[in-house]
Amino acid sequence: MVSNVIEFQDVSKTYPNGTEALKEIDVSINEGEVVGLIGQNGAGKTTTVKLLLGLLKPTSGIVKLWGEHSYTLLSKTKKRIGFLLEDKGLYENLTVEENVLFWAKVYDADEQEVEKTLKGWNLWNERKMFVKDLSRGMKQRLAIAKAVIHNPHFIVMDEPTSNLDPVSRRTVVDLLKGFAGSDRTIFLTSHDLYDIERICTRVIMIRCGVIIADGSMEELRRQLKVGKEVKITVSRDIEGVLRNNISKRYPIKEIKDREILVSGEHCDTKDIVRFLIKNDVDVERVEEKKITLEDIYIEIIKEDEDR
Amino acid sequence: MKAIVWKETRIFMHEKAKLITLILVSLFIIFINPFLPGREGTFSLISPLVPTLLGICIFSPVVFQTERYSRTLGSLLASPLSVQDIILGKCGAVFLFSYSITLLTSIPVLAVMGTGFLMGILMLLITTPIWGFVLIEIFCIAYATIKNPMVLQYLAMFITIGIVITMMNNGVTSIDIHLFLILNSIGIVLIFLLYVLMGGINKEKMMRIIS
Ligand SMILES: Nc1ncnc2c1ncn2[C@@H]1O[C@H](COP(=O)(O)OP(=O)(O)O)[C@@H](O)[C@H]1O
Ligand SMILES: [Mg+2]
Repeated sequence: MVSNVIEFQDVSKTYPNGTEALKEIDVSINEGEVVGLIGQNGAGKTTTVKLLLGLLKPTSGIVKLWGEHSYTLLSKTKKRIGFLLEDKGLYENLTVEENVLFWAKVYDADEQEVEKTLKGWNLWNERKMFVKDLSRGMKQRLAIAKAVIHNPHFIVMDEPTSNLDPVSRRTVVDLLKGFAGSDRTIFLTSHDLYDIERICTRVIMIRCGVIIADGSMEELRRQLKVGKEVKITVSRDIEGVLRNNISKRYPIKEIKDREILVSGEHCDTKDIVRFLIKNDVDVERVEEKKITLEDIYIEIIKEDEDR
Repeated sequence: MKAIVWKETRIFMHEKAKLITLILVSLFIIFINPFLPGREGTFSLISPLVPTLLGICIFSPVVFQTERYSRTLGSLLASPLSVQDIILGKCGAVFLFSYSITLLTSIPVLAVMGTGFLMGILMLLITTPIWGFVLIEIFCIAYATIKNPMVLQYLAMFITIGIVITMMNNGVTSIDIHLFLILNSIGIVLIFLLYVLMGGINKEKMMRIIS
């Protein structure tokens, strides 16, 4: 039986200072799904994670985890969750090993796991080092390692791949991908599509506290009308009746002087070219460009920045 | 709760400067008394209180500020630990650590003094833990309600200096049994009252501290 792990029912969150961080969010996530929440800084990702972990109370609506209200989760339920917050939960004035041991004790995890975990995450040689002396990449690995020490059923991580150098980031992405293979439910946030695309099977795009797309990468492409775009450069300006005819027949995005921009996944370039030649228009060049989800995401970000 | 006690104790062990200061001052105060003029061979009855209270003044700021310093309170609150686990774990850690040092530094003196120091032992085993816990509870409530912890650090320093000065001026070598009972009864009532107050520290209050 497929069961709901997370359920957001009509959830809004307004901070005391009046900031509306989330607006009427409705999402449910099933067991085994690997979900990425993507959005720009300030979109409401951290707020979502904090609501999920019961660190915030929704202003209206209901947040449930395995059917329990997230704000009043039982200790028994909390033991099934592994989480990484924006503030990583590491004690700067304890050593690497002590940090992992502490979290193992909190979760009643087998303390023999500590050595295995440290070795598995390539932190064994640094185990006597204080956390305050670690590099960012090491800290991040440690933070993730301690979050999963008790082998949780459900993993929530707020920006696990952000602020890392390319090599550490690659390592973290690979390690997270490893988790995604099992039947665990995973919920990650990121402001970067690159990581989400590699790890998650379902992507939720959030913008200013509102979900603008939700589904697999394929579905997202459809929802956001991702496809290809064809630019046809012709020998003369297109005007009058011809211009109207083309616009009616084909999914034209724009006609500007001697350039025609056609959009849509299913536009038949050959047919357009044939049509143009029949109408005495010479075609000088045809360029095809595939629009990626990344392009759309970046366009959205740009729009937001311009506002 | 055990996890918290363990973690705080590890942090204390790393605070080498504070630890050494505490041990040296404790030893000094306990050992100096019998050598002061007019008090030869006596064991001051309030000697055991000093290391405990001093330890609490030194290590309370550590336990009650670690989470702020490392920004870990959110993670603790989202973990299976309850707010009561966290608070009692921290209080327990400060108490156990300070009191252990007291026992370690006082027992040799009591042993040297031999018999006849029943009152000293009672002070060490009963009054010291009771009043130690009162002080920890006061710190705990203060840290949970006062936004500016610097105030508390100064307060802790004044209390510590006050205790040391009193100690030096007062070589109490005997204590009336009635006074002893009253002192301890007041302590127990205070522990209970402060404990009720501590029950008011909930998740919302703690989150207000981090935000
Ligand atoms: N404690 C807070 N008080 C007031 N506003 C906040 C608080 N935390 C976040 N916000 C605001 O809520 C919005 C969403 O923030 P956040 O969830 O942190 O976004 P993200 O994690 O996607 O960057 C932002 O506009 C942010 O400024
Ligand atoms: Mg964030």
